[in-house]
Amino acid sequence: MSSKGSERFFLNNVRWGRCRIVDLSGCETQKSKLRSIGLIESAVVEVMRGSAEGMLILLIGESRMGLSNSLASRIVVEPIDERIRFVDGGEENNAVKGRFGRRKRYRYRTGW
Amino acid sequence: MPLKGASVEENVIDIALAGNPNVGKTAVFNALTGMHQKIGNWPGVTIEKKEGVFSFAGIKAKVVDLPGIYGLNAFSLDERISRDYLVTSKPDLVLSIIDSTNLQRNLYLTLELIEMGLNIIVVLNMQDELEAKNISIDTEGMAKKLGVPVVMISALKHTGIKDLKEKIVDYRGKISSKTERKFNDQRIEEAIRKIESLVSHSDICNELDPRWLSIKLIERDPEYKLVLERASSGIKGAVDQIVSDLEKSVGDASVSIAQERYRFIQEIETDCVKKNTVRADFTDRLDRILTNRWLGIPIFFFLMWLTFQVTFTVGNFFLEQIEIGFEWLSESATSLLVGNVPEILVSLVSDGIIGGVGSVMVFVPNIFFLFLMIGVLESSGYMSRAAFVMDRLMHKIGLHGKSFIPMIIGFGCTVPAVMATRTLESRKDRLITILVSPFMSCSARLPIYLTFTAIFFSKHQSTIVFSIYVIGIVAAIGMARLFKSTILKGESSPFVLELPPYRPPMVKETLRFAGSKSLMFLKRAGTIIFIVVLVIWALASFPAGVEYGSRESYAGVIGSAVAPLMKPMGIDNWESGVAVLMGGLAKEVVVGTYQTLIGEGNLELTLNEYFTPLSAYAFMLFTLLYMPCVAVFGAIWKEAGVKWALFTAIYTTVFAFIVASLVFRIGSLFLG
Repeated sequence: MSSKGSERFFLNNVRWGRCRIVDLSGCETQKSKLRSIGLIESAVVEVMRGSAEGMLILLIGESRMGLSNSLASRIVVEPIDERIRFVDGGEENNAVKGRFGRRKRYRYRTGW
Repeated sequence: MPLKGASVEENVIDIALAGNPNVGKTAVFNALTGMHQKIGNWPGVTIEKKEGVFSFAGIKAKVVDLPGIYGLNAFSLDERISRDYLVTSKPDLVLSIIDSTNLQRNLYLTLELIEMGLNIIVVLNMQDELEAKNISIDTEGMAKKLGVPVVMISALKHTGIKDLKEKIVDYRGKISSKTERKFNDQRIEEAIRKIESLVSHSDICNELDPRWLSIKLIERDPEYKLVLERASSGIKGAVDQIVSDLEKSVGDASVSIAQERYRFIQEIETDCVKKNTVRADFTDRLDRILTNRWLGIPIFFFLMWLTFQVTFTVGNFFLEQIEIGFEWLSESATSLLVGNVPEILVSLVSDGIIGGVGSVMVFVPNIFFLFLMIGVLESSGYMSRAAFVMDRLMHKIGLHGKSFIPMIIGFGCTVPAVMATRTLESRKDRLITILVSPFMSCSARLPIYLTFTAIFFSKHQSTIVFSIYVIGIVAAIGMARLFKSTILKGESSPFVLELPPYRPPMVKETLRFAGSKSLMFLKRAGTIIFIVVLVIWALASFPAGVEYGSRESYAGVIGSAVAPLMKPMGIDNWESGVAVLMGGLAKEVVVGTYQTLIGEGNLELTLNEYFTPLSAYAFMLFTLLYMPCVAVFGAIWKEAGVKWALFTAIYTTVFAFIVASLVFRIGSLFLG
């Protein structure tokens, strides 16, 4: 069990719990579709089953959505739930440290 | 005010049904028109638009049921069908069908439709589920907020349909000016106004609502950016400048617009919806088991096995009764005709018509129970879960779980399976799925398996048939892997799949689905199979003077030419050559061919002479894998082009030959 309220992760690192969508710029081509199903920046979603077990099950409002791992790995989220759980090693796989360079890191920290 | 595109004299109104996938659009369509289009509990049941009509209070309405879409940005072919229809056909009225238990997601599309300037009636479907969940919606309040009429119905329970029809008639007179929804953020509104004034006077707007086009340009919708390309460079530059200025102020404008919409939806939910319960977790609990990492795939295969078990055990009881009936019919016809008509006519009736067609028709009960089981799985909501659990496996071959849905549909018939690939967004994924769909064993092959397993594997009938189906799935996955890594290389596209709540199977609809499929099978038996059987009978009877069904007959000559090719599979009789050739027209005909060729002979004894259990198994594998029937060939031609249709016919036949030969040769080493 771990709380990572101040950190940001790719959605595929979350095994279970509620989080807020922070950045969808990694999935530009799918963005409008994601928006129309309720996946927008600042939306709160609940991960019901992490992508370690295949697809990820996400509760968006009343809808259960299966997201492919490749899509989840491009969505940056921040946990808003103290009881959030991560996939093995997911806690270390911070979106800021893990994937982006200094410029992007700056962007996430400052909100630029 | 006259209706757009409608004849005032005739009082005809064009209505389109639009909504998210799996909200019951087709159920509403059926309820309005009295038709019986297929409905199910999984997204993607409707993949092309369907039309129907109804009359009410002197009004004739033409209704178009559109494939489900989440928003007006089209990705897959079925979504494009819907979007293009709404944009270009401009129906007089759009019924925005909404799952009333899930307003948040559904209202997004409704807002887009309103923004588009279409005449809308919001139809809150699934009233029964809403009541069961103890949720209440203030429809009048919602109508006031949205600025369009709102009707609550349950299409399945047929409640509220009359109200809806009255609303349509009532609203008809008011279709004069569009409802306009303003955004709260004045910066967005200002930008829309500026672009609207630019584009409304240019010719790029001739079919489109200027306000809606402006919103799409601000959202940087790729399709509408192409529309802007047609405009003069002055307009194009000005629009780009307005959007850039807006983005400096609000950030990503498309995000801001989406957030505005969701804020408005939230406002509607807060003001008009009363929820008295917490979320029911029955679906969650069931999902924990059915989509479990370790249990998911075994459960899927168990359900498949159960399907065949029911198909055999229950179906066979009825099959035997029908078989007795046909035997009696054949004997009665023969005794009635002998001496009264020429011998050749007796042969035509008893060997050709009753023997050939009857040998196929006896399987109707099995077909019924197969489709009944498929119907239960579909209407319960399991279909999406099957795609979900297979995703891991599919991902390894470069596809994703969504490709598995058309494959499951292929268990019924490959034609709708090929059509169902329209839900896939990537063209390469779609092509691969089309190419491997024929390996999913369709119901037309069932008579072959039932006949051969009953004769050669009577104690393990369902297990043997189950193994054939599993080999079909493995072959499909294997070939998909091969295509993905060779001729159709490409990244697996990311995807989203909705998992609908589990619902009790709809008894009436499921029975109707199974019944209609059985009827279709009967119709095929009465038409194409009947004709093919007559052709086989003629080939077996001529040239004049030869013994019926002998090697010297035309059928014998044709079969003998093909027979050498079947020797590696352990099959050394010309009749199988004819059966395989005729099976290319319709797979059901394979069994009928044997029966027609042997005339009054006993099918079981004859096949026992022709086959060993091993060669019978190889033959079943060959019929599973070889070229699809002409109907499927036509469907692939239509969906992918003639080149891919020919490629499918050739590669599947070569593959079938290799697999069946290997099974026979390797099997012979162990079984002697």
